[in-house]
Amino acid sequence: MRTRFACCLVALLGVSAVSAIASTPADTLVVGVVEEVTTMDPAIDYTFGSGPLFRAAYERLVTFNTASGKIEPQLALSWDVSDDGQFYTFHLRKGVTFHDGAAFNAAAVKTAYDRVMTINEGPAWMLTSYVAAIDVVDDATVRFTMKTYPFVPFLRVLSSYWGMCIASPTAITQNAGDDMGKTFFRNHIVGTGPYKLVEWVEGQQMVFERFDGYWGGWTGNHVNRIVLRKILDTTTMALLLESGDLDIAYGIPLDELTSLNGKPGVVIGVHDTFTTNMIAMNTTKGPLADVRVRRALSYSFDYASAMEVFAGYTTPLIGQIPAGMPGHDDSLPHYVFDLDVAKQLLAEAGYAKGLSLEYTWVTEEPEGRRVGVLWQDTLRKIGVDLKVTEVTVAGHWDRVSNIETMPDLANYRWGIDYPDPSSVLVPLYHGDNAPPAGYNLSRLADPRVNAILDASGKEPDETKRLQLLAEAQSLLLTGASNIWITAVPVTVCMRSNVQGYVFEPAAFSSFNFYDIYKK
Amino acid sequence: MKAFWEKLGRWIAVRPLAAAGAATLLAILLLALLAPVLPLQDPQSVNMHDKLLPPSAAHPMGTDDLGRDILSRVVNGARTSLLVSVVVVACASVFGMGVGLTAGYFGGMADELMMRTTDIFLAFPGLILAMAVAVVLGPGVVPTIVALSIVWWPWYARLARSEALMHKQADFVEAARATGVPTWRILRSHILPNSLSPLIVQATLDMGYAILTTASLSFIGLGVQEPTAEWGAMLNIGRKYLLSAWWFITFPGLAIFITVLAINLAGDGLRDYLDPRTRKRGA
Amino acid sequence: MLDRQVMVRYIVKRLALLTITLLGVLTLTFFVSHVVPGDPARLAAGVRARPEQVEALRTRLGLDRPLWQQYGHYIAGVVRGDLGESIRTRRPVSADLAEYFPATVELTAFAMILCLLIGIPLGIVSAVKRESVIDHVSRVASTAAVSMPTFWLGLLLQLLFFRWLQILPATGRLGFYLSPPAHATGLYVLDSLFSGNWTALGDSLVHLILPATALAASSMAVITRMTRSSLLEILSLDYVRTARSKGLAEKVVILKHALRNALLPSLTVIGLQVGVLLAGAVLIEVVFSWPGIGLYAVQSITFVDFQAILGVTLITAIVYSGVNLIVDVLYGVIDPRIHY
Repeated sequence: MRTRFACCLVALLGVSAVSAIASTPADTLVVGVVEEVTTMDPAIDYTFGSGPLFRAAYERLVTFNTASGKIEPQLALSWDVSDDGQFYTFHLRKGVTFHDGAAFNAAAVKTAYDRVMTINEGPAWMLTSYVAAIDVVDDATVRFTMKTYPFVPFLRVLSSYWGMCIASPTAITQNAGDDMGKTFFRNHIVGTGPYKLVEWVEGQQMVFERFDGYWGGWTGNHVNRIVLRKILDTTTMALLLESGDLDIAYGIPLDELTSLNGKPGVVIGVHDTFTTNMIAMNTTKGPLADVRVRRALSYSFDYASAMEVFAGYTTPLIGQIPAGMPGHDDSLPHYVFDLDVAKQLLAEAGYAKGLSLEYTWVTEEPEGRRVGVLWQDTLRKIGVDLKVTEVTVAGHWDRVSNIETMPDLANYRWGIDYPDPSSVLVPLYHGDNAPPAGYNLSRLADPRVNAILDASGKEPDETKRLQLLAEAQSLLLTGASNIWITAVPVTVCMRSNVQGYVFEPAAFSSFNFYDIYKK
Repeated sequence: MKAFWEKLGRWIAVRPLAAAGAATLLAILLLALLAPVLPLQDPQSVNMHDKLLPPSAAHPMGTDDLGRDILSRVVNGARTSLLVSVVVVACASVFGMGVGLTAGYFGGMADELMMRTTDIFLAFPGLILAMAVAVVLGPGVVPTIVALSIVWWPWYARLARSEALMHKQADFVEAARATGVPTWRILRSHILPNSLSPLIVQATLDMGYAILTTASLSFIGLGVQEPTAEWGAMLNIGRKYLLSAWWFITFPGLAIFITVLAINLAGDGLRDYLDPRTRKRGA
Repeated sequence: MLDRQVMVRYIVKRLALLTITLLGVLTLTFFVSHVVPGDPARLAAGVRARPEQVEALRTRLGLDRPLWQQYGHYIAGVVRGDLGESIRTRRPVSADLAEYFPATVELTAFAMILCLLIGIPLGIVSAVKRESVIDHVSRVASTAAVSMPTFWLGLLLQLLFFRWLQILPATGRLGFYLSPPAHATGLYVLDSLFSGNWTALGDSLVHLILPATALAASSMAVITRMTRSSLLEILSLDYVRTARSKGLAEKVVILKHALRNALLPSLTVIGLQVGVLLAGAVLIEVVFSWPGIGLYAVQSITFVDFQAILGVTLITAIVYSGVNLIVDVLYGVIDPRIHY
């Protein structure tokens, strides 16, 4: 009866809502994404939403290979670094053209990066902080002169897709207008990448088509068209993947994956990113200024239950550097859940009768809510009263930026800017980087940590550098300035005929489109 | 006493729906008051391994995304929802009444000022202003109450003003004025008591709206905060599990629905009984 | 029309008052939204921006100036038709509103059509067949409808028609493969009609069913009740009884004499319901991921996007007050006894 009624209605309306099993065209890859894109300008955008489009249409001088941990050529074929680290000279790939026909050369690199540095918004600091000048040596050679040197991770900085995507010099000069082309580049992409943007319906979809002039050529297996669909509602996204209307679904929440379990033709993928979730403790005032209280809290956190917030797909973070990134060390000690130890430490610090603390979490990072409520329930058992407060991104920044309003405990996420341990340790734990200058929310100011971090940026020997970083991480664990929870997983689910996808934790929201094809 | 029961019996016979509403409302009030001593599970007790369980004997309404018992949270949520809405209506009506009676009685500039001010508040959806105020004040029970009271007082001010306008011409007021009774005493002992009953009836009828609006604010994530149980906030979280955990949105929503329905049914009966001048209003 | 001059004067007076009210609305919202915690320059620059970048942007956006100067600047802009730039979408607010507002208009208009098409006839039937089964059912249903949280009804409809019956879409304005029809009004239904795009027409109608129903329910109930009670009142009046006793057919009595007078008070109620629908749309748009100004407002508020919040407030206030004005004027046109 129910089915008949349903059939009638479907027939009546002439449109099926969700149920029809569809399949996307063989040469088209349809990707459902959740992230918002508000500008496509590589000089301005600093969000995760740009990942897929930037990797479809733009390229950088170098890229980072997560598997090998090495920097690999993209638009630069090779490079030399002067012994003192002052000059980086790149030898560029020849025969590369932009989507608008402009030639890629040393001048193009200079024009693109000068634009980023002049606009000086969003990601520009990654260039302006380190680069003094960019010079054209010859058509195929470009030289970067560093401001401070040596700065060992610089090549990894250049592999970031924020700020480092190279846009066409013709497009830049012709569309400069009175705002350095910000209006034009907000909704245009003119890069050298394998796919060019053909349509953007804001808030809905972007369509890319293969760029015939791509230097990599089109032999082998590729798709011709990529459709990025923004889908606000993740349950809809899961249903669309199930029905074959999507080839890839990015960002279905972990708790909703159960609805896709065992569905034919669907491959569930959950990957740990280089983004970590933590709780910063205010080391400058209140009870948490006492390291014993911070350690007590570190023991009071139920790490195993907290992993259930991530649907059990992840493991507690060891040290501060997420697994897969150079500098991660599995042998570091870590805190375990032990309420007796926590109680004892609290008593030692003079809080045998308990205490009250405030914990904030950010609306846009929803795991913070459940982590907080879970912890609140645990802490009740040792007499600690945890007040859980939700804050918006704006409110979060307001509160952590001011030492007076900084909450005792602040849940936050940190996603790296470039795939190097310094992109975790320096902004989060160097004493110079207390907010608003940086992201050292706990305002930890340990001179030993500062010295090691300063030294590690100048240490060219990788082995020695990793030793230094391990030392820094041990010091940080003893200082207990944060509760280190876990690396935040993302979900990338796809139809089983999609081949060639490789997850990259450093650029987790993007896809290696050029290598992806359908069987 | 016997007369009371007879009267009650007659009222039930004539207005069965209103009686049912009143009875339900009474039951909800009792549940809310007795929640702490009822044999319910701890509404704040988290168990991550029991998260999102469907209704069962152990959890008649299932569990939420933190493994908390939804039945217990629904019952405890009644405390929050009822408390917030009573206080909102009380604050808004007392303040609105003060402003409205004064403006209506004095007239002139004071009246013009009040009318223009309320114009502003009534010129766009209150929810949007409430949202902005809630963001300013931050989340929590008290900010929610303040935000909603700020949005609601103009309605009562308008009603009180019209009452004051009507009564200030009345003979007994004229008489009092003529005998030199101070203005504030005229306001207190003549205008106020005579204006009170329609205002009280209106406030009672508005309880339902207050519950709905409170829930709306928390539904957008700007209202009451964890771990306090509140119906709208539960729906806000439950919405994320719409397709996988139907019970998560069904029961808190049902609680709002039944409570507001009971208030409306009982209120309709009350209005028919008192038959005051009522008004229609937007949320 | 004896009173045309009077009426024009009345309208002019109301418009002048309206301008003052709108200025008040902007002032109120301006100062409320500027005490919202959070630094807009920081957000606009990106949370990881360097302090000097933030300061540069603060200067460019004029946020370093004293509040009253910012206020003056903003009001001056509004007078010129410039609503400022959204820091979240990095576009002029007017462009954002032009994109989002039609979706809200479409949604509320359909909800209103549902209200009128169902509410008024139901009210008439209830009144004419007083105490019948239909009357009782419609009264219970309307009490239930006004007691139900709009957003919860939306969620239930999604569960029922999207999850279980799988016959109606739960979110968005158009199906997955369809591109929006050629832009003319921004209302997909009208645009697809104009361009003869029948697929898009059917699909956008299908997408409207659930959100419009959820949004309409409580207003429909109010309109049903109002129609019923005012028709009952009229039917008991002398002249109607006289008409009946003269042997006029019942249908004629109701349609010709009673209904016209009964609908008059309903007009005010209907006008008020436009406001109720606009407010309800905020929640319904969140539930149905409907890209209208309600969703835009919610996103803007959490992002401390002042200019966007102000823009939304202004446009809703204009619609709200505009509808009230139209209702009052219509009232006078229909009922010659009303004088301004």
